[in-house]
Amino acid sequence: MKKKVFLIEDDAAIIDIYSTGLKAAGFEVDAATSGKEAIAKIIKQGKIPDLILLDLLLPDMNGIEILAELRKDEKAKSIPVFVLTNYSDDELEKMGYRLKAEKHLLKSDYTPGQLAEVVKEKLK
Amino acid sequence: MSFFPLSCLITSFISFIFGIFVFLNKKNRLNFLWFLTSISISIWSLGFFGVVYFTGYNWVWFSQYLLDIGGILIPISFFNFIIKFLKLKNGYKKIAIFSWLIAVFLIVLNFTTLFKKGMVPYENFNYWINPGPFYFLFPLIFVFFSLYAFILLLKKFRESDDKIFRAQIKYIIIAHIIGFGGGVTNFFPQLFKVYPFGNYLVVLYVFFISYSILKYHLFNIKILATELFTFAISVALIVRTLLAENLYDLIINGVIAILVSVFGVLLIRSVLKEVKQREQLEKMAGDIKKAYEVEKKAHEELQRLDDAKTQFTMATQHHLRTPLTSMRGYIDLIMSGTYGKIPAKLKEPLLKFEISTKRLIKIVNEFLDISQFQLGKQVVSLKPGVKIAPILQEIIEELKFEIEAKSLYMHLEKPKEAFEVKADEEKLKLALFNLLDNAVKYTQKGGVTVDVKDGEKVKIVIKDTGIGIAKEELSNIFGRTFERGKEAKRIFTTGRGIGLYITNEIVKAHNGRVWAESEGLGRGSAFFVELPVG
Repeated sequence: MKKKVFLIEDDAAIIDIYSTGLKAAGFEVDAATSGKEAIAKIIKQGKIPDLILLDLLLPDMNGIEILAELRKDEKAKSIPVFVLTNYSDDELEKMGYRLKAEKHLLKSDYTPGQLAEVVKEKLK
Repeated sequence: MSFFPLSCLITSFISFIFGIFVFLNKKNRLNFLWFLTSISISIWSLGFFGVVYFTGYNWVWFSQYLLDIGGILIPISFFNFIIKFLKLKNGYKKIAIFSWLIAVFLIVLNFTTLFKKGMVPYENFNYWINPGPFYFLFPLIFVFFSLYAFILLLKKFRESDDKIFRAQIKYIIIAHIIGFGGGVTNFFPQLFKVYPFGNYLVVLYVFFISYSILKYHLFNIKILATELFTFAISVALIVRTLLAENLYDLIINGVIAILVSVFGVLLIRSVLKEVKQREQLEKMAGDIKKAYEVEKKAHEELQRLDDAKTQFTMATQHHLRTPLTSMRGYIDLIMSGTYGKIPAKLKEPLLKFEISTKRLIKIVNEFLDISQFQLGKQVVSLKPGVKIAPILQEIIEELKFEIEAKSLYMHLEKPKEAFEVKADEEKLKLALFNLLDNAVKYTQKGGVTVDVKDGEKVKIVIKDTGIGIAKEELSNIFGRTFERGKEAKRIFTTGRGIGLYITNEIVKAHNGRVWAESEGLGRGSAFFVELPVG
């Protein structure tokens, strides 16, 4: 059974490249382009993934707010989360770690293949 | 003459001289108001002298008018002096005009029996005022304006930061308490049948105002006071000489008069010199203060612009990196065959495209790192137990292609121990990469040796046989001006000199230090990184 990766990202091209890379590596990928959509899918519809890749800058909520919502939900609170962003800010990074984000990855440092490797390492 | 009338006469005389001094020194509104206050005190005190000294009713009655008119004018002129001295503006002009109207009203009233009915014997005095039914307005106004002036002085004393101004206010307050406190007791016999014991104190106000003049330059009359003092003594000595009864006295007094006059002139010259120097110093201090303020303002403006620039760069980082991420992502997917097999002739251009994209990402990351350093942000997240050797090994692997292409050697002296430091692995790798990349880039023959040494701190030494660094360029290579050596510019024209600045900032953020040594151009370089063990 394929492992499920949920991508919370508002840029269509980024969703495209990482989804393609992850699918090529054998993962099942779902995505949401806003915080509300992500919360609706994961918490309300109960689509619990094996790992979440979370962007920090989204149109309706920021990544830290989404992470806080996820950590409040009984089913979603233990999902591993990797922050995947192009916005480097040490304060946000610390807040992410406080909310048990496991990694803080800079998108520009990770090709789809490299990201798939990191995800694979976590979910093996 | 008993002491009471004598004290009145002294106060009158000193106040008169004092008022004239101030007015003659500089004819401005402030000095004029102090002149009015001093003359009012002088008239009041002269009147008082007449009341207590003369025995004839008419002289006493005339003196009482002088006493009352002077007494009415004292609190009003003093209050106006304080408004001017404290530079009070809003609304105080109207209060000042109103105070003068009250003074005029009381002076007119003073000529009626509503104010005073006549003079009657009182205790030791031959005559004392017999107040009319509206006499009480006089002490009431006296106390009101005295208290008002006192409150204004106290308020300004608390608010002001100017030390000299505060000292001036302090001595005026002391003089005010003593002078007005003593003066107000003169109302006691007619109001409460109590002896005017405080009158002796009035003369002391002169002492405190004089102290303020000499020490804190109130009214700036030091020169004039010295001149008048010297002149008065000289005149007295000359008169004494002229009135000498024999030749011996004439010679002695004459010599003394000449000596005193000469020393007096010297004293005046010394005071003039001192005042001139003080004025020059004050002017210089003012000029320095102005220049400092202009410089400070310019610096703040530059700082603001610099912050705005850095903030802008930070804000755009997301927008710069996102399209680059997509470009790099798509090329990665194409190259890995996700979209099918790549035609052979496309492979090389695609590889070049990938290299350029990576280079662009590196440049953007460097700029953003610099912005973060300049914003004073914490760019490293330190974790203990980071091993140095694997990081160096990884970097060497990444540089393998270039090392082989230039036929250089690369020796990593494997440390006996697995040195661990407290570090941000990614950032430390970037810092060390910049040093190794430079070593390879600027070495044409020979190679690079990397050594890790133990001690209290972990020391990484990167030695190359490259172009070397001129002595005069050594101190600038890690600076924020991104200096590059002349030879470095010639060998590698597209370099930006950013790498060493970033390395330095990262190492500093690790509580370490980085430095370079070189015997000179063409004699290789050695870069040292020292990090705390952790």
